Amino acid sequence: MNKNARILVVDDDENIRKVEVAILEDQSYTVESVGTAKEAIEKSKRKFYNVALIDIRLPDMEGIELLTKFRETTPKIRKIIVTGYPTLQNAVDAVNKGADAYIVKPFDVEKVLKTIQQQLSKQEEERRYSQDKVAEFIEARVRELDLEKEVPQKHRK
Amino acid sequence: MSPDNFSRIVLAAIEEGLSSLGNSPREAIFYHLEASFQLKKEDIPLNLTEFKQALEKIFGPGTPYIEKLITRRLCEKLGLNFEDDENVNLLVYVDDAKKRLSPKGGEKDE
Repeated sequence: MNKNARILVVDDDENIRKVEVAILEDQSYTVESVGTAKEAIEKSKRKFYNVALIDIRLPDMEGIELLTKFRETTPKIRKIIVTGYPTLQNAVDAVNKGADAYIVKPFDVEKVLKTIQQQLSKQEEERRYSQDKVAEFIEARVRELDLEKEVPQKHRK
Repeated sequence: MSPDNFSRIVLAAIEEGLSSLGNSPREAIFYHLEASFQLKKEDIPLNLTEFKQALEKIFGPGTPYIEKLITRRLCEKLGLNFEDDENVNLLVYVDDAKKRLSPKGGEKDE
């Protein structure tokens, strides 16, 4: 699995952030952490993150609202909601707003790591698909350019 | 630095820059540069203007992003400062690098 993946932890609880960062850095992920939604949005504008772990309750915004505020990238950042208040409504809202996964506190470390690995796998598939699309675009565009070259010659005949 | 070495570094920067798009897109670009633009991979460093023009025809407004990928790699390889702004021009960076690395001054690429 991609151990160079960059992960952003978004949680206003400093102790939780430290724990999450320690767990993820132990797995050789590159990890950054912030305490507010605003900081998370700013970070996402400046850097690419493979995964964001987002606490459902942030001081300046609901974590579920933050899901729609990240800068769009290709492949898209995988967003995992982390909550100590699991309800069916939260889960539905999270999915509708674009969460890719949902983790419940207190953490089961193995489950958290497995969820992240699954999300990185899906992201890698998306990246390969995008690369195939770029290659197809190049093929199609060059065919188009070749046809443009032929047209003036046909008109001369 | 000899012209041959410089060309090798430029080509390596191009390969690595294009690799950021993925292996398939990189190979597709080199294939079509030769097939449709008559520009062999090994000749690219000495024909950068033609290379850039071909990229512009293929990618249109996406070309500056690809230029930036290549130029960043080139600066890393040569230990030069890379300024990440909107108007990164590969040809300007290459000319500048040639001047810095050659005491006699580099020849202009046509």
